[in-house]
Amino acid sequence: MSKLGQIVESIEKYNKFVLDQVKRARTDEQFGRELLGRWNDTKAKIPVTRTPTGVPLPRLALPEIDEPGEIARYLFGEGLPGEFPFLNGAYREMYLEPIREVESFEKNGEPPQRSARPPLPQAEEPTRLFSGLMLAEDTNERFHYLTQHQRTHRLSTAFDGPTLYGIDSDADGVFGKIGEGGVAIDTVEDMVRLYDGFDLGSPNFSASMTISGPAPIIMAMYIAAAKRRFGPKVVPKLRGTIQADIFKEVQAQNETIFPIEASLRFLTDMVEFTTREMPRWYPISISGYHIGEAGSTPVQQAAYTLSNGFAYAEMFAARGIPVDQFGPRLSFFLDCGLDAEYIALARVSRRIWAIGMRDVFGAGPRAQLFKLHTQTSGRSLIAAEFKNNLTRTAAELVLAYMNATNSCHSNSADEPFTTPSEEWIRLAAHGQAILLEESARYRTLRIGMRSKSTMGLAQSLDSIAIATAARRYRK
Amino acid sequence: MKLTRTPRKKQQLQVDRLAKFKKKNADKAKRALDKLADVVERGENCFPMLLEAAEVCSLGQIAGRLQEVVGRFRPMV
Repeated sequence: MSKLGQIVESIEKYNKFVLDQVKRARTDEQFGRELLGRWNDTKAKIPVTRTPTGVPLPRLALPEIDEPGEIARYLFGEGLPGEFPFLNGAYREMYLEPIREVESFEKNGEPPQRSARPPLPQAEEPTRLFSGLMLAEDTNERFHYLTQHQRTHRLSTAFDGPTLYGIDSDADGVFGKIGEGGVAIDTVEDMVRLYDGFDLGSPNFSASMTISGPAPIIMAMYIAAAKRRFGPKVVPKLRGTIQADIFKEVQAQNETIFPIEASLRFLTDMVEFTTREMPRWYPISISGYHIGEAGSTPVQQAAYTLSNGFAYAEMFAARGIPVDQFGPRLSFFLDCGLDAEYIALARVSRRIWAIGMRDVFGAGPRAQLFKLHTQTSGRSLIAAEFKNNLTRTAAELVLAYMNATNSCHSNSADEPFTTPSEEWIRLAAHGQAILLEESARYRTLRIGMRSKSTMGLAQSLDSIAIATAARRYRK
Repeated sequence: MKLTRTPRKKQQLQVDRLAKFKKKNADKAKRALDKLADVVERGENCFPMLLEAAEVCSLGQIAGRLQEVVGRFRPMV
């Protein structure tokens, strides 16, 4: 049986395991009591924050259930945020503001005890605005503009057409395409200019580069540029992502320059190098966005993305790279439009990925995480009365964050007809700031994400996505 | 409505910069590309050699040389 066939079976097997646990919780009294104890314990330990008017809000909103079968369905079927199978989130607290000591454990009146709970991750802005225009210095200026008030500098880079196709700016017929739709990069010197003024080795900096066909070459230029500015010791400190998703290019975007086998070999060469030498780098972003934007249904988007991801995992494992070395360095990228499926699509994807990686590839906890970047849907925006695109994008942003995406790009309303202008990209960035910082909804995580109807949709998406994958790959 | 487009002057500047880079590194680029082609043909991990080539070659020079060795992508449809 193919690897993908095995994955389909592992999901079915896991779903059966969950049903068995639910049944056992209802029939085996001791097991039921254990689950109830664990559940009450978990709830009692949730730190509480307060609204400005003093109303207490738990930092983690859990469903109000007290029946052991329902608790089993939640704990095994969905998992607490940050726990297998990660339906509710890859991490416990995601981008909540770091906890203040006065708030912690306020609920049960205990004094804060640092050692009693795992250290909380440092909160950072999940905002990533995809940018690239004209020459390196112009894009650099845009990067500085976008990050001037951010604690963390997370740059997301768009390249122009010639660069995406691995063609130099002096090649025949490309002159008018230089710097259009993205930044023109020909040499390491351009790369130095592109990120000038940013501290590439700092934990607060990362660069994402959206390029697949010539990705290993661009990656090498990025490393060369970093070495020129900060010396060779900077290499293991570099953080960021390069898209490098060849399957998606062949399936949807068509910016491929080498035959597929050669492309995959260059990709694997890069992954072997970066996962060993650059432990904080993501050398691939397995992308459904372009598949979705090219016209697939949302479920097809998830099914292709997941099966592409598992195919890469199979390939890297075949090269001899340990799954716990490459697994934590895979990242994902999905679309978020206004279709109903997007209410739960990313959540379902996260669960399928975790089960497949654990049960078929033998991956450890860090290699089970479906770490996700989301972009609001470009094809949902239209040129007529384009200011309405602000509302479309805002609704999509809410959906993306309800799905606990790890990072997010919000589209600029003027995109149907131009590379984003400063005026509209500013509003796109503000949209995220308003949602994340002004909106009280995000002081607590996931309130309202788990209505019965959402869960019903998640279950049906799960089975359709599995059926889609099964039809294609089971032998 | 203001559209963001790249002025011709900037496009020309990019072409001029590239010409200067290629001229400055001509000899080193040739040697790096030959070594890269060798590594690819031998089937070894080519990434360390890409790192060397990226210092002195342009994107198009590297991609073009790799295409000479492995061929070009042809859509399957």
